[in-house]
Amino acid sequence: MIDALLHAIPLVFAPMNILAMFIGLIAGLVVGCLPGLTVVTGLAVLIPLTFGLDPMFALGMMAGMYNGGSYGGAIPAILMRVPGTPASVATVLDGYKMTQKGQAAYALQVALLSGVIGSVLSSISLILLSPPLVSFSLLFGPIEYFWLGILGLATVSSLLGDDLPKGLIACGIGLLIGAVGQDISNGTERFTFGQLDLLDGFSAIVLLTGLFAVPPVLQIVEEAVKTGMSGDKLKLHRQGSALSQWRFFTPVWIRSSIIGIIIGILPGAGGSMSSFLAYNEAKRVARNPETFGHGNPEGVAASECGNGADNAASLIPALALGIPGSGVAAVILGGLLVHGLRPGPQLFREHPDIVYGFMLQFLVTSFLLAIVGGLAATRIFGQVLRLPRIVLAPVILLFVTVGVYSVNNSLFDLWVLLGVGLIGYIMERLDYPSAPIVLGLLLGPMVESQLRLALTISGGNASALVSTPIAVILALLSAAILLTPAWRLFRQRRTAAA
Amino acid sequence: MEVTEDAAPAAPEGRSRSPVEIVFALVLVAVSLAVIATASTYPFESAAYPIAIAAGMAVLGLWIAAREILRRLRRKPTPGAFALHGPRLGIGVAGLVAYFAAISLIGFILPSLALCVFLPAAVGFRRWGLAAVVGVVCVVSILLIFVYALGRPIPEDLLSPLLAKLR
Repeated sequence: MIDALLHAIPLVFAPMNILAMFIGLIAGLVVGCLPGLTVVTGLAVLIPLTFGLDPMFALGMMAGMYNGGSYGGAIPAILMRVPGTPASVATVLDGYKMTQKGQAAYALQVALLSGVIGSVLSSISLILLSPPLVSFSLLFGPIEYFWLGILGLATVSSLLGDDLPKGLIACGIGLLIGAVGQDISNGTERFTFGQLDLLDGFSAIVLLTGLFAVPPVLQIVEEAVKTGMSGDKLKLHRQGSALSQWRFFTPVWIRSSIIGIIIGILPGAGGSMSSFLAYNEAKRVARNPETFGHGNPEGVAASECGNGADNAASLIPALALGIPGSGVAAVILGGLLVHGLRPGPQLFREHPDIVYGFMLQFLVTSFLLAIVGGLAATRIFGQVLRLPRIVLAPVILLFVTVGVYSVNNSLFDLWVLLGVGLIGYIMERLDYPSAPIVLGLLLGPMVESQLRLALTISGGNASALVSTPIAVILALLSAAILLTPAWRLFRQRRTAAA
Repeated sequence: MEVTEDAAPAAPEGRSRSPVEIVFALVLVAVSLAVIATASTYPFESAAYPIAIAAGMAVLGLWIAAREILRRLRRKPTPGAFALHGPRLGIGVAGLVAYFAAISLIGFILPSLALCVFLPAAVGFRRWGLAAVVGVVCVVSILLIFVYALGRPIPEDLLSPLLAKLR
């Protein structure tokens, strides 16, 4: 690991890659700032634009966007009481109250510093925890990989939202889309209908861009908000230093970081959950819990630190095992695939410089965020909040179009983008979750191919699928995860009946 | 969420998206059955996987449709309208379809400029100048960064000969 990290350092600190991280951070800040656009949307727009670029440059932009977007959401949350991203909702509770008390600049500083600390610790956990997980996965054969894929798909149950059938259908759609194209084992063309563009299946990048970038465009058009934020709110003056009060904030930062990292690793959880849990924990142990929700800086610190700590940690299972546990991780996994990098042990073996470089980029962008997210920068990049949101809808579409077209130089892809975007919009409005589609698309081919391989090796004996201890453990874990929502529902109903 | 003075109202609470729920679930069932029918013509080892998934989806689709119908019968349909604002949604969808159709015919630049100006205008945004400036800045940035600096392609454009001279 140390050798790989040392080899990656020159790559990460190459001038062009530093530039990429800066660009990604700034783009992330802007995306995070804009209510209605999430980090997932930003990444979905960014990934096709990075196609064909050097992988380290592209990954640097992704790492920057993730960390930048994570903090960017705090800016409108604090200044306007509008959470820029779902993960910033808890920040609103105390952040906006601080603004009303004339402490906007201080609240932004606390949010920034807390987000940076959470991101740094999260990046360190990514670097330290991924290699052991990879070493463990080296014990895996086709049977274990099959169950690992099933486990990944089972985690979908925690991404399903409130409606299990809808989530399972979304996953099924992803699995079916993943089945389109030539069957590599026997050359059969599945669901191509003679269309040459479909011989290799649907492009994952086109699909995830359509799913995550087009629906927000339609939503912005529907909302048709024609005014931007008043420029007065961006007149920020320095008000004390959050850094000088490190003794006061340290316990909050430590607790919130631990919560964020654990939530990040767990499949299906996400930034909004970690920020809320961190906020609640800070409130629970505070000496003056009644001040939370009335402008207590600890509330802002806990929320933003928990949110930042979730970022890199959510990539631990994605990078080490190829199992994305959250929507953002699934999109980043798609971004890696676009650059020919298949997450899992193979990636660590074949491209250690890139994978460790990517982890270091998370660490570096966490520190860069302290510079790029400062008050002066907030004043500059926050100007985007003054732009009426309705003019942003075509802007997003322009970048998405040029990015998707350039992946295969194909107009067909643009129509796929439109079709998937419209279907994604309908599903979003009907509360069908989008993340399981991506999980199904990414994991489906692996599950199918490993199952076939396992059955071929065992001579068609299905009992071989549970012939190793690891396979049995993975199968039981999958069943437990799948049954958890049903068990929870059963208990809720029993409690309600009682 | 803070609402600015021109913000659109939230989706009407009184209306139900129930009919769309049922139609979409039935469409999913129909698509699943079509998948099963199509896959049945493939060799068994290629067909088993998609058939298994499509069968599951058909059952779940029927479940959702039946559940929604029962809710309607009990006069408790899923609340909330499907669209935040139907006419604007129609404009948005039409705008996107027209944009991609125009790209197929005359390329990227002119449809993109038109989209930046006319899509906001179609939903009542009257600051044409601002929309035009944003559009020009975006298109020029894309051309400078992606086409000239990075050598990335854009759809074949009416203005391609002019762009080639500028290179």
